Amino acid sequence: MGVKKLNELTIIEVQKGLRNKSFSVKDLTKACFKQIRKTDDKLKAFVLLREKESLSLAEKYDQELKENPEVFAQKPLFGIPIAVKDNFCTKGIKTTASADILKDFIPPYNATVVEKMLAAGAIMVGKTNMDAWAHGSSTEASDFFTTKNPHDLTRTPGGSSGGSAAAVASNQVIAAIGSETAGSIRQPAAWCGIVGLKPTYGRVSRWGLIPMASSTDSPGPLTKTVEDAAIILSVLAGKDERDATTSLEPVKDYSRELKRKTKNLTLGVPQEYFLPKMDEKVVLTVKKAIKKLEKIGFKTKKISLFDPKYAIAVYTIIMRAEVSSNLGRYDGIRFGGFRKNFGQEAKRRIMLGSHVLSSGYFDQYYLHAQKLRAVIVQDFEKVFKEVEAIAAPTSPSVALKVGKAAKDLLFGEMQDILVEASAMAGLPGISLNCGWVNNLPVGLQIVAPQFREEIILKVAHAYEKSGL
Amino acid sequence: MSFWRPIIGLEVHVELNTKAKMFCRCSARHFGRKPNVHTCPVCLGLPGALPVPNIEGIKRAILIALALGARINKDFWFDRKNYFYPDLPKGFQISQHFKPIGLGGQVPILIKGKEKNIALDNIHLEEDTGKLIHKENESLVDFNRSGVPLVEIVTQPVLSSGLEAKLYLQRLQQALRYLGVSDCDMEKGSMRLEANISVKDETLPVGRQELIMKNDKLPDYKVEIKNLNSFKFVQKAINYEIQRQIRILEKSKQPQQETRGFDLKKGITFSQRSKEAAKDYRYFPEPDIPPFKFSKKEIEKIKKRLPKLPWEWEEEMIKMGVARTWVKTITKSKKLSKLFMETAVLGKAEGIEPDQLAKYLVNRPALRKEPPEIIIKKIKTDLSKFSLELKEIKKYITQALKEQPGAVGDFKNGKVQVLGFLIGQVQAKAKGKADPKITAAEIIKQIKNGA
Repeated sequence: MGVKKLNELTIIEVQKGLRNKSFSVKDLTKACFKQIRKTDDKLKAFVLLREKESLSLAEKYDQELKENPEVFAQKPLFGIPIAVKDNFCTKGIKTTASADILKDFIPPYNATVVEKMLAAGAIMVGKTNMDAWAHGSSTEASDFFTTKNPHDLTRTPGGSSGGSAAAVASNQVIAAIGSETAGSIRQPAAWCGIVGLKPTYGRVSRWGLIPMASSTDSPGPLTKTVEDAAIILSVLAGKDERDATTSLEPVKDYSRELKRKTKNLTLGVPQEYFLPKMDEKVVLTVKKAIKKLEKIGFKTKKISLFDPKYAIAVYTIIMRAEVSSNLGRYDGIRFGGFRKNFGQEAKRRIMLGSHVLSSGYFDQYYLHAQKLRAVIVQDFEKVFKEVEAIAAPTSPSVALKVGKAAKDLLFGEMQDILVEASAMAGLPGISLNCGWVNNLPVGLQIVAPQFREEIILKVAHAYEKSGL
Repeated sequence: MSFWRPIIGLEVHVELNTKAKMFCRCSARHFGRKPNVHTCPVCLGLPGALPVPNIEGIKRAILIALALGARINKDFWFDRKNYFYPDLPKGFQISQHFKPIGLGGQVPILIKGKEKNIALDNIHLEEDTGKLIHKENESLVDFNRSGVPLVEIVTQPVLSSGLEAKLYLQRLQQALRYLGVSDCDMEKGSMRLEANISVKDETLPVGRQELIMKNDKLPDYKVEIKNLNSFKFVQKAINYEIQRQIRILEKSKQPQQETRGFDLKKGITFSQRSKEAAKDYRYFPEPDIPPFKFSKKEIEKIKKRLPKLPWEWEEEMIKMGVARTWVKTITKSKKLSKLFMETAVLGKAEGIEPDQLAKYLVNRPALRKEPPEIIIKKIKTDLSKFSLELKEIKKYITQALKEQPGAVGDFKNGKVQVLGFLIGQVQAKAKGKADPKITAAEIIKQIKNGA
């Protein structure tokens, strides 16, 4: 650990160091900005940086720590430099969703997620690039620029939370916030070799999150370790009076849950999630990881889930229907640029979404998709009677080369094929690194029933702890 | 000869008088306020802002549905109605399309002495839009009204005349005011009306009318009249529109499906925009608000908030022997109905009949400002003053007119001032107990009838 640079630390390591006075918050923040300066010209993870503000807050926090050494009890993210995906509204700070229409938009309010992170003591060093409006799985659909994968600059980091994933993977920050509609946290986490947690729909407030598909959007953390994800989830989770879809389900202390002994958990391995056309080396890597889960004490069981191709159909229709309505407010009257500035992908989604909602097509598309969505939910419910969680590959491949997405209009849907069903069902899922193929990370995902985040965190933590 | 049957449906929007807006906590007061003072990210439709329903708004909408005898949907939810307009900040209005709060229901009216129930289609809850203010070279938007709760009450196409429409609207306004859920003020825009009108040719072979009437099919066009801001105009506009459509139909043509406005000065409707096909609002369930499930118990709890409705007051008063004319005036306001009932109890002990009390309250509006005891006292004084019955008064008048042929002749020749003299003559016989107003009227009547 001694050889680690400050910006390479995890949340837990930072807290230890701050407690021991091994370094100051300012040292840490400076180290992050040093790394950003060194890497971001090529990586392009950030759309906005707040160096001056971050350093001055760091100084303030150093003072606070001196006066109150127990500050960590009240502020579980005290002094942690983080990055926030640019679709979370930040009061008085430009928020663009990487969309040209919002390039000058300054919200007068904070997203609940931002508010909670800041209240917990995090230092927001900047806002990260994404596919515009979160429409994409590679950040290539950003209206500004493409973020690169820290493990191979000719490849994409995945998306849409690609900027956040790249920032964490390249140690520009300690942790980051992303959002997932179907894959946008787990897939970039897998491609960048970090931990990405998508909580249950309704576990974390969407207030102030510029929506993609309102019925599935879920904010969540991208971190270096599972333990860090648990700390951030404890900060973010809970009912929010400003989001009617947040749940009253009690919030657990997820960090404490990690320390509790795992009982005999059975993990289901869906055969349908090893697709025939998948990269063979990825298949092997994930299968090896599942073997390892068995070795550390989990039972595994072959299960059968719906062919994920159905989830693509359902997701494509429902997401685009909601997108077409959600983007209706960008008329340029009260804020933002004009409609003509929508990018190609946004226009395509508006057209398709409007179509599936049109009278005469509504029953055939939207209603049909909703019925199938209910069937997908039931499919998972059935499986969860036999197993506590599901283990499967996160993505069918490792990070793809920049430029591939443009050639394939359903690029995102194909890359996210293994996470869409669970996203449509609102289930919590986590992706963590489980090996490497050609020096590129491979992701393993664990999925559990709604509001059972502690299960996926426990399984992932046990895996991580056992050492790869 | 053709028999033309007008088919009219009404859509009434009423703003609820909740403190807060429907989906944010901004004040719902917007009339006469400085523009854009009651706004927030939600009602301005800023990115990432989410609607959170105002439960009181939902309860009041349920209350309206219960009062109008509608069935409350076990599950109901909000839907997005997508369309573009500068006063609609989100690009959609949160409304109810698939599962409204209330289904069916009816409003009882009295038309030409007969009771008729106007059948409702549904009662649903939605949000109001902002307001556009057009100036010479610019159009301004005021979002104070954006998100104010709006209940829409939709009738079935069952009304058949402008008068019926007017009576229905008066009745509805009266009921909603009794409920205390809306000011229903047309001038302030808290009650807004739209009428859908078409006319059907029902020329049928003799003897087959009844048979076919059961198999109602609506004409395949309808004309919508918007922005009708008084009941009188609704009546006029509908009647005008019926005649206009009949004139077209008589030429064997079909009126165009369109939206029309009403020209107050000319008293005619005019084309605003044609809608060849139905608008496509691309409705779908609002994903930001979970569906609602009100248990029977919760509905019963809301039911307890139901006050006595105007038609219930009326029934009671009629049972008490009050004449319909008085009842109609008294039940116009809940306050007056209450005052009448309270006073009637006191009156009974003092030998004042409810009908007599009602008559006083109708004819002497000043009395309504007094408390019940004073009203009774005043009526008693009044009655003891002029306690003579009409029959007796008539008798004395006949006598007096016979005795004073000269004065009668003068009156006939236009010397109206002799009326006072004649009243004095009657009063002398009646020992001052004849009501001078009634006496005067009776004298004139008798002279006219050739006394």
